[in-house]
Amino acid sequence: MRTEDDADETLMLRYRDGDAAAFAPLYARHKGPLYRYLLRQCGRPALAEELFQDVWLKLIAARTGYSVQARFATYLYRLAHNRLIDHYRASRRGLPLSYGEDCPEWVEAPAPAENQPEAQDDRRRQAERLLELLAELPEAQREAVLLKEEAGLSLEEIAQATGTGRETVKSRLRYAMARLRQGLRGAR
Amino acid sequence: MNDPRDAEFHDVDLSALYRATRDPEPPAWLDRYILTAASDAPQPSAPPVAPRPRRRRTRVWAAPAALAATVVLAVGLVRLARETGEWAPPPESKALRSLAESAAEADAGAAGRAQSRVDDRPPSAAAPRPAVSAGEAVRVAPPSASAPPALPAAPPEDPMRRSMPLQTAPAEQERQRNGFQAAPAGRRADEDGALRERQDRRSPEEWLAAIAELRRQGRATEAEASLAEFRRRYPDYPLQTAPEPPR
Repeated sequence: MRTEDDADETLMLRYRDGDAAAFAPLYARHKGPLYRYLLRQCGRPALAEELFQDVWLKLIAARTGYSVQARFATYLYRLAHNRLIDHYRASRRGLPLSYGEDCPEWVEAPAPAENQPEAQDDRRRQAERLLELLAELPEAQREAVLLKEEAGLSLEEIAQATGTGRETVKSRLRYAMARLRQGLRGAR
Repeated sequence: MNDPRDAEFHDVDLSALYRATRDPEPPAWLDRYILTAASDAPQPSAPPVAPRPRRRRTRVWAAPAALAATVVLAVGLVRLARETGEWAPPPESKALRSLAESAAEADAGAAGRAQSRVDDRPPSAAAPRPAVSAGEAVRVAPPSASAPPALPAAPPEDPMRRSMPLQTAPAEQERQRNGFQAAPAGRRADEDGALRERQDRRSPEEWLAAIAELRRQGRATEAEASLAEFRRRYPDYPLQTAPEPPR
Protein backbone atom coordinates (compact mmCIF):
# COMPACT_ATOMS: atom_id res chain seq x y z
CA MET A 1 0.00 0.00 0.00
CA ARG A 2 1.62 3.19 -1.14
CA THR A 3 1.33 6.22 1.03
CA GLU A 4 1.40 9.82 0.00
CA ASP A 5 5.10 10.03 0.83
CA ASP A 6 6.20 7.22 -1.45
CA ALA A 7 3.78 7.86 -4.28
CA ASP A 8 5.37 8.04 -7.70
CA GLU A 9 4.58 11.70 -8.07
CA THR A 10 6.04 12.56 -4.66
CA LEU A 11 9.23 10.69 -5.41
CA MET A 12 9.59 12.43 -8.74
CA LEU A 13 9.01 15.83 -7.17
CA ARG A 14 11.65 15.06 -4.56
CA TYR A 15 14.05 13.99 -7.26
CA ARG A 16 13.30 17.14 -9.22
CA ASP A 17 14.09 19.21 -6.14
CA GLY A 18 17.49 17.59 -5.65
CA ASP A 19 16.82 14.45 -3.63
CA ALA A 20 18.80 11.96 -5.72
CA ALA A 21 17.84 9.09 -3.43
CA ALA A 22 14.21 9.42 -4.46
CA PHE A 23 15.01 8.17 -7.94
CA ALA A 24 15.99 4.63 -6.97
CA PRO A 25 12.58 3.46 -5.71
CA LEU A 26 10.90 5.13 -8.65
CA TYR A 27 13.18 3.31 -11.05
CA ALA A 28 12.76 -0.03 -9.27
CA ARG A 29 9.02 0.33 -9.45
CA HIS A 30 8.81 1.00 -13.17
CA LYS A 31 11.86 -0.53 -14.78
CA GLY A 32 10.34 -3.99 -15.43
CA PRO A 33 7.04 -2.90 -16.95
CA LEU A 34 8.71 -0.26 -19.06
CA TYR A 35 11.36 -2.63 -20.30
CA ARG A 36 8.79 -5.27 -21.25
CA TYR A 37 6.62 -2.67 -22.92
CA LEU A 38 9.54 -1.62 -25.10
CA LEU A 39 10.79 -5.16 -25.66
CA ARG A 40 7.42 -6.41 -26.82
CA GLN A 41 6.81 -3.43 -28.95
CA CYS A 42 10.12 -3.57 -30.82
CA GLY A 43 10.82 -7.30 -30.46
CA ARG A 44 14.63 -7.09 -30.04
CA PRO A 45 16.33 -7.00 -26.63
CA ALA A 46 19.25 -4.85 -27.80
CA LEU A 47 16.92 -2.27 -29.28
CA ALA A 48 14.70 -2.42 -26.22
CA GLU A 49 17.67 -1.69 -23.98
CA GLU A 50 18.63 1.29 -26.12
CA LEU A 51 15.12 2.68 -26.04
CA PHE A 52 14.81 1.93 -22.32
CA GLN A 53 18.00 3.84 -21.60
CA ASP A 54 16.90 6.76 -23.75
CA VAL A 55 13.58 7.04 -21.96
CA TRP A 56 15.13 7.15 -18.48
CA LEU A 57 17.83 9.56 -19.53
CA LYS A 58 15.18 11.77 -21.04
CA LEU A 59 13.28 11.64 -17.76
CA ILE A 60 16.42 12.59 -15.85
CA ALA A 61 17.17 15.46 -18.20
CA ALA A 62 13.62 16.79 -18.05
CA ARG A 63 13.25 16.47 -14.29
CA THR A 64 13.47 20.20 -13.62
CA GLY A 65 10.37 20.82 -15.73
CA TYR A 66 8.30 18.10 -14.12
CA SER A 67 5.03 19.00 -12.52
CA VAL A 68 2.19 16.79 -11.43
CA GLN A 69 -0.41 17.03 -14.14
CA ALA A 70 -1.23 13.34 -14.36
CA ARG A 71 -0.08 10.07 -12.87
CA PHE A 72 3.65 9.58 -13.07
CA ALA A 73 3.11 6.37 -15.06
CA THR A 74 1.22 8.32 -17.70
CA TYR A 75 4.09 10.80 -17.88
CA LEU A 76 6.70 8.04 -18.12
CA TYR A 77 4.88 6.09 -20.81
CA ARG A 78 4.24 9.24 -22.75
CA LEU A 79 8.01 9.63 -22.96
CA ALA A 80 8.34 5.97 -23.93
CA HIS A 81 5.63 6.19 -26.58
CA ASN A 82 7.26 9.25 -28.13
CA ARG A 83 10.63 7.52 -28.20
CA LEU A 84 9.05 4.50 -29.79
CA ILE A 85 7.35 6.58 -32.47
CA ASP A 86 10.68 8.28 -33.19
CA HIS A 87 12.21 4.86 -33.61
CA TYR A 88 9.46 3.76 -35.98
CA ARG A 89 9.80 6.90 -38.06
CA ALA A 90 13.56 6.52 -38.28
CA SER A 91 13.28 2.91 -39.38
CA ARG A 92 13.04 1.81 -43.00
CA ARG A 93 9.49 0.67 -42.48
CA GLY A 94 8.31 3.97 -41.10
CA LEU A 95 5.41 4.56 -38.77
CA PRO A 96 3.16 1.47 -38.73
CA LEU A 97 -0.21 1.83 -40.36
CA SER A 98 -1.94 0.68 -37.21
CA TYR A 99 -1.29 4.09 -35.67
CA GLY A 100 -3.70 5.63 -38.13
CA GLU A 101 -7.14 6.44 -36.85
CA ASP A 102 -8.84 4.18 -39.44
CA CYS A 103 -6.47 1.32 -39.61
CA PRO A 104 -7.35 -1.35 -42.23
CA GLU A 105 -5.21 -3.86 -40.35
CA TRP A 106 -7.88 -4.04 -37.69
CA VAL A 107 -10.25 -5.89 -39.99
CA GLU A 108 -7.93 -7.32 -42.61
CA ALA A 109 -5.51 -9.05 -40.28
CA PRO A 110 -5.94 -12.84 -40.48
CA ALA A 111 -7.37 -14.54 -37.49
CA PRO A 112 -4.78 -16.34 -35.43
CA ALA A 113 -4.61 -20.11 -35.59
CA GLU A 114 -6.17 -21.87 -32.64
CA ASN A 115 -3.91 -23.66 -30.23
CA GLN A 116 -3.21 -27.28 -30.70
CA PRO A 117 -4.98 -29.51 -28.14
CA GLU A 118 -1.75 -31.13 -27.00
CA ALA A 119 -0.47 -27.83 -25.62
CA GLN A 120 -3.61 -26.77 -23.85
CA ASP A 121 -2.64 -28.17 -20.49
CA ASP A 122 0.64 -26.40 -20.40
CA ARG A 123 0.18 -23.01 -18.72
CA ARG A 124 3.60 -21.98 -19.67
CA ARG A 125 3.01 -22.74 -23.25
CA GLN A 126 -0.26 -20.83 -23.08
CA ALA A 127 1.65 -17.82 -21.90
CA GLU A 128 4.12 -18.21 -24.70
CA ARG A 129 1.24 -18.47 -27.10
CA LEU A 130 -0.16 -15.27 -25.68
CA LEU A 131 3.12 -13.55 -26.38
CA GLU A 132 3.11 -14.87 -29.90
CA LEU A 133 -0.39 -13.58 -30.40
CA LEU A 134 0.60 -10.29 -28.89
CA ALA A 135 3.53 -9.97 -31.25
CA GLU A 136 1.23 -10.59 -34.21
CA LEU A 137 -1.04 -7.69 -33.25
CA PRO A 138 -0.68 -4.41 -35.06
CA GLU A 139 1.68 -2.11 -33.13
CA ALA A 140 -0.98 0.33 -32.00
CA GLN A 141 -3.22 -2.45 -30.67
CA ARG A 142 -0.31 -4.18 -29.01
CA GLU A 143 0.75 -0.94 -27.38
CA ALA A 144 -2.73 -0.44 -25.98
CA VAL A 145 -2.70 -3.93 -24.45
CA LEU A 146 0.79 -3.45 -23.00
CA LEU A 147 -0.07 -0.09 -21.51
CA LYS A 148 -3.11 -1.65 -19.93
CA GLU A 149 -1.43 -4.80 -18.65
CA GLU A 150 2.10 -3.59 -17.86
CA ALA A 151 1.61 0.01 -16.86
CA GLY A 152 -1.88 -0.40 -15.49
CA LEU A 153 -3.17 2.66 -17.32
CA SER A 154 -6.86 3.31 -17.80
CA LEU A 155 -8.34 4.02 -21.21
CA GLU A 156 -8.14 7.71 -20.50
CA GLU A 157 -4.51 7.45 -19.46
CA ILE A 158 -3.63 5.33 -22.47
CA ALA A 159 -5.17 8.02 -24.63
CA GLN A 160 -3.05 10.65 -22.88
CA ALA A 161 0.13 8.61 -23.14
CA THR A 162 -0.31 7.83 -26.80
CA GLY A 163 -1.75 11.17 -27.80
CA THR A 164 -4.95 9.73 -29.20
CA GLY A 165 -8.61 9.89 -28.35
CA ARG A 166 -10.31 7.69 -25.85
CA GLU A 167 -12.54 6.15 -28.53
CA THR A 168 -9.53 5.22 -30.60
CA VAL A 169 -8.02 3.46 -27.62
CA LYS A 170 -11.27 1.60 -27.06
CA SER A 171 -11.32 0.43 -30.66
CA ARG A 172 -7.72 -0.73 -30.51
CA LEU A 173 -8.28 -2.58 -27.28
CA ARG A 174 -11.50 -4.15 -28.46
CA TYR A 175 -9.90 -5.57 -31.56
CA ALA A 176 -6.79 -6.65 -29.67
CA MET A 177 -8.70 -8.49 -26.95
CA ALA A 178 -10.87 -10.21 -29.49
CA ARG A 179 -7.85 -11.48 -31.42
CA LEU A 180 -6.09 -12.67 -28.29
CA ARG A 181 -9.19 -14.51 -27.05
CA GLN A 182 -9.68 -16.05 -30.43
CA GLY A 183 -6.08 -17.22 -30.54
CA LEU A 184 -6.25 -18.69 -27.04
CA ARG A 185 -9.67 -20.17 -27.40
CA GLY A 186 -8.48 -23.70 -27.46
CA ALA A 187 -6.37 -23.16 -24.37
CA ARG A 188 -9.20 -22.27 -22.06
CA MET B 1 -8.11 0.21 -14.95
CA ASN B 2 -10.46 1.14 -12.14
CA ASP B 3 -12.82 3.02 -14.38
CA PRO B 4 -16.07 0.99 -14.62
CA ARG B 5 -16.33 2.03 -18.22
CA ASP B 6 -13.18 -0.03 -18.86
CA ALA B 7 -14.73 -3.23 -17.51
CA GLU B 8 -15.49 -4.61 -20.94
CA PHE B 9 -11.78 -4.52 -21.71
CA HIS B 10 -10.71 -6.21 -18.51
CA ASP B 11 -10.30 -9.95 -19.01
CA VAL B 12 -9.21 -11.55 -15.75
CA ASP B 13 -7.99 -14.76 -17.35
CA LEU B 14 -6.11 -12.95 -20.05
CA SER B 15 -4.45 -10.64 -17.53
CA ALA B 16 -3.47 -13.58 -15.32
CA LEU B 17 -1.98 -15.38 -18.27
CA TYR B 18 -0.08 -12.27 -19.28
CA ARG B 19 1.34 -11.89 -15.77
CA ALA B 20 2.85 -15.35 -16.14
CA THR B 21 4.99 -13.94 -18.94
CA ARG B 22 6.54 -11.19 -16.87
CA ASP B 23 10.04 -12.51 -16.86
CA PRO B 24 12.21 -10.15 -18.80
CA GLU B 25 13.91 -7.44 -16.79
CA PRO B 26 16.48 -4.94 -17.91
CA PRO B 27 20.05 -6.18 -17.48
CA ALA B 28 21.91 -5.25 -14.31
CA TRP B 29 24.48 -3.14 -16.12
CA LEU B 30 21.66 -1.02 -17.50
CA ASP B 31 20.24 -0.56 -14.02
CA ARG B 32 23.61 0.62 -12.73
CA TYR B 33 24.11 2.92 -15.68
CA ILE B 34 20.76 4.64 -15.25
CA LEU B 35 21.00 4.90 -11.47
CA THR B 36 24.47 6.38 -11.78
CA ALA B 37 23.26 8.85 -14.38
CA ALA B 38 20.41 9.85 -12.11
CA SER B 39 22.62 10.42 -9.10
CA ASP B 40 25.32 12.19 -11.11
CA ALA B 41 22.91 14.58 -12.74
CA PRO B 42 23.64 18.08 -11.54
CA GLN B 43 21.31 18.89 -8.74
CA PRO B 44 19.06 21.77 -9.53
CA SER B 45 19.58 24.90 -7.56
CA ALA B 46 16.86 26.33 -5.43
CA PRO B 47 13.79 27.37 -7.36
CA PRO B 48 14.28 30.85 -8.74
CA VAL B 49 12.88 33.51 -6.51
CA ALA B 50 11.87 37.01 -7.37
CA PRO B 51 14.71 38.92 -5.68
CA ARG B 52 17.35 37.03 -7.59
CA PRO B 53 17.30 39.08 -10.81
CA ARG B 54 17.02 42.24 -8.78
CA ARG B 55 20.07 41.31 -6.77
CA ARG B 56 22.00 40.52 -9.92
CA ARG B 57 20.93 43.83 -11.40
CA THR B 58 22.12 45.57 -8.25
CA ARG B 59 25.41 43.76 -8.45
CA VAL B 60 25.81 44.80 -12.08
CA TRP B 61 25.21 48.47 -11.33
CA ALA B 62 26.96 48.64 -7.99
CA ALA B 63 30.47 49.15 -9.31
CA PRO B 64 29.64 51.83 -11.92
CA ALA B 65 27.39 53.64 -9.45
CA ALA B 66 30.09 53.64 -6.80
CA LEU B 67 32.64 54.87 -9.32
CA ALA B 68 30.34 57.66 -10.51
CA ALA B 69 29.60 58.72 -6.94
CA THR B 70 33.31 58.80 -6.15
CA VAL B 71 34.06 60.94 -9.20
CA VAL B 72 31.23 63.35 -8.43
CA LEU B 73 32.34 63.66 -4.82
CA ALA B 74 35.96 64.21 -5.76
CA VAL B 75 35.12 66.87 -8.36
CA GLY B 76 32.80 68.57 -5.92
CA LEU B 77 35.44 68.67 -3.22
CA VAL B 78 38.03 70.07 -5.62
CA ARG B 79 35.69 72.76 -6.85
CA LEU B 80 34.65 73.67 -3.33
CA ALA B 81 38.23 73.85 -2.19
CA ARG B 82 39.17 76.10 -5.08
CA GLU B 83 36.20 78.37 -4.57
CA THR B 84 36.92 78.76 -0.88
CA GLY B 85 40.63 79.33 -1.47
CA GLU B 86 41.61 76.21 0.37
CA TRP B 87 44.37 75.45 -2.08
CA ALA B 88 45.47 79.07 -2.75
CA PRO B 89 47.01 81.52 -0.32
CA PRO B 90 44.47 84.07 0.76
CA PRO B 91 45.33 87.62 -0.16
CA GLU B 92 45.31 88.75 3.48
CA SER B 93 47.95 86.25 4.27
CA LYS B 94 50.27 87.64 1.61
CA ALA B 95 49.58 91.19 2.60
CA LEU B 96 50.10 90.73 6.32
CA ARG B 97 53.27 88.72 5.81
CA SER B 98 54.51 91.45 3.56
CA LEU B 99 53.70 93.95 6.24
CA ALA B 100 55.60 91.95 8.80
CA GLU B 101 58.62 91.81 6.57
CA SER B 102 58.53 95.52 5.93
CA ALA B 103 58.09 96.45 9.57
CA ALA B 104 61.25 98.52 9.53
CA GLU B 105 59.69 100.86 7.04
CA ALA B 106 57.03 101.98 9.44
CA ASP B 107 57.33 105.64 10.46
CA ALA B 108 56.06 107.28 13.54
CA GLY B 109 54.70 110.23 11.61
CA ALA B 110 52.13 108.15 9.87
CA ALA B 111 51.08 106.79 13.22
CA GLY B 112 50.58 110.23 14.54
CA ARG B 113 48.47 111.25 11.58
CA ALA B 114 46.36 108.18 11.94
CA GLN B 115 45.93 108.89 15.64
CA SER B 116 44.68 112.36 14.93
CA ARG B 117 42.20 111.04 12.36
CA VAL B 118 40.85 108.59 14.86
CA ASP B 119 40.31 111.33 17.42
CA ASP B 120 38.34 113.42 14.93
CA ARG B 121 35.94 110.69 13.81
CA PRO B 122 32.48 110.22 15.42
CA PRO B 123 31.74 106.82 16.90
CA SER B 124 29.67 104.41 14.86
CA ALA B 125 27.10 102.20 16.46
CA ALA B 126 27.29 99.71 13.60
CA ALA B 127 30.90 98.89 14.16
CA PRO B 128 31.53 95.22 14.75
CA ARG B 129 33.05 94.30 18.06
CA PRO B 130 36.30 92.54 17.30
CA ALA B 131 37.17 89.30 18.82
CA VAL B 132 40.11 89.01 21.13
CA SER B 133 42.90 86.57 21.24
CA ALA B 134 43.94 84.54 24.21
CA GLY B 135 46.09 86.54 26.56
CA GLU B 136 45.87 89.75 24.61
CA ALA B 137 43.10 91.90 23.38
CA VAL B 138 42.93 95.27 21.87
CA ARG B 139 40.62 98.07 22.73
CA VAL B 140 39.19 99.06 19.44
CA ALA B 141 37.51 102.31 18.73
CA PRO B 142 34.49 101.99 16.46
CA PRO B 143 35.34 102.78 12.84
CA SER B 144 33.54 105.56 11.15
CA ALA B 145 31.46 105.28 8.03
CA SER B 146 33.76 107.65 6.23
CA ALA B 147 36.82 105.63 6.89
CA PRO B 148 38.80 104.56 3.88
CA PRO B 149 38.20 101.05 2.62
CA ALA B 150 39.95 98.47 4.66
CA LEU B 151 41.72 95.41 3.42
CA PRO B 152 39.33 92.88 1.92
CA ALA B 153 37.82 90.88 4.68
CA ALA B 154 39.05 87.37 4.99
CA PRO B 155 36.60 84.86 3.62
CA PRO B 156 34.49 83.15 6.24
CA GLU B 157 36.11 80.11 7.59
CA ASP B 158 34.98 77.04 5.82
CA PRO B 159 33.78 74.29 8.17
CA MET B 160 35.45 71.77 5.91
CA ARG B 161 38.69 73.64 6.27
CA ARG B 162 38.37 73.48 10.03
CA SER B 163 37.70 69.76 9.87
CA MET B 164 40.66 69.07 7.63
CA PRO B 165 43.44 71.19 9.08
CA LEU B 166 46.17 68.74 8.30
CA GLN B 167 45.12 67.85 4.80
CA THR B 168 47.96 69.88 3.38
CA ALA B 169 51.41 68.78 4.27
CA PRO B 170 53.50 71.25 6.33
CA ALA B 171 55.85 71.86 3.46
CA GLU B 172 52.90 72.46 1.19
CA GLN B 173 51.35 74.84 3.72
CA GLU B 174 54.59 76.75 3.92
CA ARG B 175 54.78 76.87 0.17
CA GLN B 176 51.21 78.15 0.01
CA ARG B 177 51.87 80.79 2.63
CA ASN B 178 54.91 81.90 0.72
CA GLY B 179 53.36 81.26 -2.64
CA PHE B 180 54.14 84.75 -3.78
CA GLN B 181 57.84 83.95 -3.47
CA ALA B 182 57.59 81.93 -6.61
CA ALA B 183 56.16 84.89 -8.44
CA PRO B 184 58.48 87.18 -10.38
CA ALA B 185 60.30 89.74 -8.25
CA GLY B 186 58.74 92.72 -10.01
CA ARG B 187 55.27 91.44 -9.51
CA ARG B 188 55.90 90.74 -5.84
CA ALA B 189 57.19 94.25 -5.30
CA ASP B 190 54.11 95.68 -6.95
CA GLU B 191 51.82 93.63 -4.74
CA ASP B 192 53.69 94.64 -1.61
CA GLY B 193 53.48 98.27 -2.57
CA ALA B 194 49.78 98.08 -3.20
CA LEU B 195 49.14 96.41 0.12
CA ARG B 196 51.27 98.87 1.98
CA GLU B 197 49.38 101.68 0.32
CA ARG B 198 46.05 100.17 1.33
CA GLN B 199 47.24 99.71 4.90
CA ASP B 200 48.47 103.27 5.04
CA ARG B 201 45.05 104.48 4.07
CA ARG B 202 43.06 102.53 6.66
CA SER B 203 42.46 103.71 10.15
CA PRO B 204 43.99 102.08 13.27
CA GLU B 205 40.55 100.85 14.25
CA GLU B 206 40.08 99.07 10.94
CA TRP B 207 43.55 97.64 11.23
CA LEU B 208 42.84 96.33 14.72
CA ALA B 209 39.54 94.91 13.51
CA ALA B 210 41.41 93.07 10.76
CA ILE B 211 43.87 91.74 13.36
CA ALA B 212 40.99 90.56 15.51
CA GLU B 213 39.42 88.87 12.52
CA LEU B 214 42.68 87.08 11.82
CA ARG B 215 42.76 85.83 15.40
CA ARG B 216 39.17 84.77 15.19
CA GLN B 217 40.05 82.71 12.16
CA GLY B 218 42.89 81.09 14.02
CA ARG B 219 45.61 82.72 11.94
CA ALA B 220 47.65 83.69 14.96
CA THR B 221 51.01 84.11 13.21
CA GLU B 222 49.61 86.56 10.70
CA ALA B 223 47.75 88.37 13.44
CA GLU B 224 50.96 88.72 15.49
CA ALA B 225 52.87 90.00 12.51
CA SER B 226 50.17 92.48 11.71
CA LEU B 227 50.02 93.59 15.34
CA ALA B 228 53.78 94.09 15.43
CA GLU B 229 53.52 96.21 12.32
CA PHE B 230 50.65 98.09 13.90
CA ARG B 231 52.74 98.79 17.00
CA ARG B 232 55.53 100.09 14.85
CA ARG B 233 53.15 102.32 13.00
CA TYR B 234 51.21 103.45 16.03
CA PRO B 235 53.49 103.08 19.08
CA ASP B 236 51.28 105.39 21.14
CA TYR B 237 47.98 103.72 20.36
CA PRO B 238 46.51 102.41 23.64
CA LEU B 239 46.20 98.62 23.70
CA GLN B 240 44.97 96.66 26.64
CA THR B 241 44.62 93.03 27.55
CA ALA B 242 41.17 91.68 28.10
CA PRO B 243 39.78 88.26 28.73
CA GLU B 244 38.67 86.36 25.67
CA PRO B 245 34.91 86.58 25.21
CA PRO B 246 32.99 83.37 25.22
CA ARG B 247 32.46 81.87 21.84
